[in-house]
Order: sequence, then structure tokens, then C-alpha cells
Amino acid sequence: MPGQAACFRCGSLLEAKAGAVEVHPPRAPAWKKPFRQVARRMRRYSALRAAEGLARRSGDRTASAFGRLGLPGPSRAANEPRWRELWLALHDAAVALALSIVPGLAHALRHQFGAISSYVISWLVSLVMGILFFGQSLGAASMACAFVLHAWIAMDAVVATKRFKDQMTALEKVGWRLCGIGFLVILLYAAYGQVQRVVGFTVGVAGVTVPEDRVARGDVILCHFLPADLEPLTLKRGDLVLVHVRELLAADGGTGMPGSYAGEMVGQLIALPGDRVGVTQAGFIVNGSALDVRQFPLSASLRGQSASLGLGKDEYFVTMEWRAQVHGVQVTPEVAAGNCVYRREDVLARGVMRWSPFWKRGFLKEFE
Amino acid sequence: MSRFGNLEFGDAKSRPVKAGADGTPIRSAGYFLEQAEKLYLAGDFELALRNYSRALEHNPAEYEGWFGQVRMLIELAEYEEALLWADKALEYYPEHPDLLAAKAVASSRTGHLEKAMAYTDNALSQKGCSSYVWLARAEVLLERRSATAAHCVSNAVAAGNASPRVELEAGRTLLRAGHCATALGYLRKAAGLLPGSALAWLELGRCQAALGFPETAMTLSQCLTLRPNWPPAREALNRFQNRGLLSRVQNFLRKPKRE
Repeated sequence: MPGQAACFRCGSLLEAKAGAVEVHPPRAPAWKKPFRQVARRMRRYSALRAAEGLARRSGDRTASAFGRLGLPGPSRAANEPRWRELWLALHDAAVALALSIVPGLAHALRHQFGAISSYVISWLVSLVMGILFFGQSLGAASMACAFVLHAWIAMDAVVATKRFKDQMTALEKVGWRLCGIGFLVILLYAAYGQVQRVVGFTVGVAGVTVPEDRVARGDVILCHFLPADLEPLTLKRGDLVLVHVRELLAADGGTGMPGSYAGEMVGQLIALPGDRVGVTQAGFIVNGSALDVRQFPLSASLRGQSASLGLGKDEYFVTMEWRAQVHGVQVTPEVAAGNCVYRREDVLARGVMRWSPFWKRGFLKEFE
Repeated sequence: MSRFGNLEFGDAKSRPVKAGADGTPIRSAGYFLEQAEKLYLAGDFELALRNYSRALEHNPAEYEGWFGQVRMLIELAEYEEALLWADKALEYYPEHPDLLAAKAVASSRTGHLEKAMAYTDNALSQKGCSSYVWLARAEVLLERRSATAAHCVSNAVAAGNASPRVELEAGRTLLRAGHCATALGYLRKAAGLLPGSALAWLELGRCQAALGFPETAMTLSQCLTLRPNWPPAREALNRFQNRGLLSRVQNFLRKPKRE
């Protein structure tokens, strides 16, 4: 075939035109590859759905969308059983969700615990950390982690159910998972809040320093809620109690002083209903006997004051450092002493343990 | 070089590489094609592509070079470029079944299944279908979840006279589609017949890992012996070793001792 540039039968190149022929192929820039990969996956997924006839999405809207893309859409007949399958899938999902009240139980019953074991362990660690550091920022962060992990495990149990898997597309699964986790985190947050009430414990910040009990102002005290029908004399002198602090009252009563603290705080119970309590420079005198200053210290607000008052049937004398910034307002002994008197409904819980700082953790003493 | 030197006679793989007076091989197109083939079997697709290009620099009429370039671009997941280059190669070798099959593979991997099917149909309608054409057909059918794919793989192996290279490709095709149990037989044969191929060991290791076989670690270690610190093999081995929580903890505790 002299003189021929290409084979007359197959068209193969017969002349080497090294100078003219470009032999180096074009290359894809590295930055383009991940984007291409995403596009490819999406294209493959939709192509596969079309090829397998998996396009069983409900309604004509999807069918018309497939029509616009030039793909065969699902027929109405194909859609009809979907509702029943969808209902069964939701039923399975609800069972999985209910079982996931105990994280990992749904997986364990389906022999899929291995897939979620690391999440369950992380949840347990977060929960233990949350309990150990309850009332602190680390505890709150750990508890938040526990909520999210619990929600994740629950949603994984839902998404992993076979019927759910068959019925939902990958995108739908992601949507379900995200929405479910968001909803469950809120639900769990509320549930965990209720657990605190059910278990009956809470924490409060100490507003008093008691050297004998190693309690300093600002420490976090674990408190046990008091029952509503509590006998007035169940509490003992020296107990730390969580009280609902009202605004510092003026001498005439009624109006609160500006800047005074209102909220919940832990104070020390000095006198019980019916007692007569006196405040002197040396300390407290209850029913004529002086109390040990190490066990019943005078708060800074009462230091230098001198007052005496009798408590009613339903009144407790509780000391703490007020967080009042009563500039220019005269705090008379009556005002000071009057603001230490709390009614039974204001005493919320009784201190049980020094909770934070961690190294001080331990049960509180009883002085009487 | 006369123009007749560019004509294709027989199998290019059997082309002897000439040696110079001092015994060193002459760096002709054949030499670079041989090097490219070796690099492909070692799993170094980037270098293999360069060697195919160098082969074409010496002889642009070398069909193996064009086809090899397209295959390497596919291996490097540069499918758009592979399609473009296959089109260019088709200008010189019109309607060549292998190039059409390569286009089918690239189209299939980019999600254009209809196009891919059309390309394989066209490739199969040509005379002299090679094992690659059958494997491309199998890949497209596997992508479409068709049951006839296994038949195409058998045809490919028959067309390739059960050569180790074809066994390897058949195993890789099946493994990519997730047919691990079927792929295992092909890959075992390939690794047995090509013991020096890191790629064959890697694919066998991946297949065994997917099936949860304990010998995976040994297979992948063998691969790493052939090609030390090869990232895909190292990654596959790590993934296999860290597959369970207990193994993860054990490896975490074991690592400092190794260092």
C-alpha cells in the first residue's frame, strides 16, 4: 500500500506523523475530580433508578418529572402498593424508635449491634461524664453529646429497618435522619429535664460559706427536692437548703430594692418554725443558746447587725450572702434579718452532697 | 523507518524488545509498551500512562499505545478525558471494538448507561471481539444489574484464552460490581499466575476483605511487600485491621509498641 496514509480496509494509520500527531492525552485537574465524582454518583444513581424501574415515588408529579427528563416514569398501578409498604415501613420505624429508648436495643435485637457499638459506648461515656459533671459546663456539653448520640442511634435504627430502606431514596434517608435527629434532640432534652424531676435531684450554687462542712460560697451543691407535704420539723438546723430568693425587701416590705438578686440559691438553715433567733456580733442565738460560729457562720451581710425575731409556724431562718447592690439604701437590722426569713414554699430542696468542685465531692454533715 | 514498519502483525505483546550492543534495551516503542504493561500490573497507572505516551512519541501508529492511554485514563478515574482520547484514537482506528468498549466503560462509570450500552452493542457488532469488549459489556450489564453479565465474563475469559491478565480484569470487573464471591476465583487465579503483580494482590486482598476472610491481612501484606507503602494497599490493610471496635482498640494500643 505504498502512498496510502491509511489502511483501505480498516482505516488504520499507516504513516507516522510524529510531528503532527498529539500523543499526550488531556488530564483532569485535581480540583475537578471531587466535583466530578459527586456529579457521577448522582447521575449513576438516577440512571440506575430508571434502569431498574425503582422510580416508585408517589404521585403524578414524579412521573411528570421523569417525563421531562425523558425517562420512563412509574405507572399508577406501580404506585398503589407503595402506600401499604410505606405504612408498614412507618410501623417498623415506630417500633425501632420505641425500642431505641434504650440506645442500641433495636440494633441488638436485629443482631446489628456491632454497627452501632462505638456510638453506644460514646453515648455511655457522654452520659457518665454528664452525670459526673452535672451542673457544670463540661457536664452540659457531655449531656448535649449524649442527646445527639442517642438521637443518632435511634434514627439509625429507624433508617436501618429493611422496609424503610427499601422505600426511601438515599436523599430521603438523609432528610429523615436530619429531621429525626433534630426532633429527637429536642424531645430528649425535655425528657432528660423531666428525669431530673422524677429522680428528685437538682443542683444549686452555695450562697454561704460553712467552714465546718468545707462548703465555700460558689460551690455547687447537689440537692434533693422536698416533698410538698413535708413536716415542718423534718429539716434540721445547719442543713443547706435551696431556697427561692426574692428581691431584697425594703423595711416597709413590699417593694424590692434595685439590683438585688432574685432566683434560686443554697443557704444555711439557722432556725426552724417557732424558734426565736437573735443576731449578735458573736453569732446566732437560737432559743437562748448561742450556736457554734464554725458550724453556723454569720454571713457578711449580717455581720455587725443586731436583731432578734420570732419565727412563725411556717417560717425558716436561712442565711446567705445577698447579691444586693443597694447603693445608698440603708440596710437596717430589721431589713437584714427580715430578708433571712423564708416561708415553707420558698424552701425547695435540701442539700445532700458537695457536687462541685470535683475534688470536694462528698456528703454534707448534719450538725444536729 | 519505513512506513511498513508501522503495520500491525500479530500480537504487540509478543514484540521482542531489541537490545543494544552493550546489552541495554533500546528504548523503542516496544520497550515503553512493555514498561507500561509492567507498571499497570504494579498498579502505577500514572506512570503507565506516561510510558504509553512515550511509546506513541516513538511510534504514533502504535495502537497499543492509544488503547493503553485510554485504559489508564479510565483507571485514573478521568472518564471525560478518556472519552475524548478514545474519540481521538478512533480517528486513526475507526470503529475499533476495543476503543468502543473503552468508551462504553467510561460512559458506564459516568452514569450514562444508555450510551454505554450503545457503545458495547457497536463494539460487539464489529469483527474480532477481544476479551476487553466482553468485559466492557459485562461491566455495563453489571451496572444495569443484568443477570447476563456472568455469561459475558465467561466469554471474555474464553476469548482471552484464560490469560492471567484477563482473569485479573474479570475479577476486577466483578469486584467493582460487588460480586465478590464470583470475583474471588478469578482473582485467586490471577494472583497465582501473576505473583509479581501488586495490583493482582491488592484486588485479591480487597475481595477477601469484602468477604471478611482472615487471610486478607496476609494478601495485602504480600502486596505491600511487592510495592512498599502503596497507599491503596496500606489503606485497605488499615481498614481491614480496624474493622471492629475491639480490633480498633487493640491496634490503638499496639501502635506505640511498634514505634
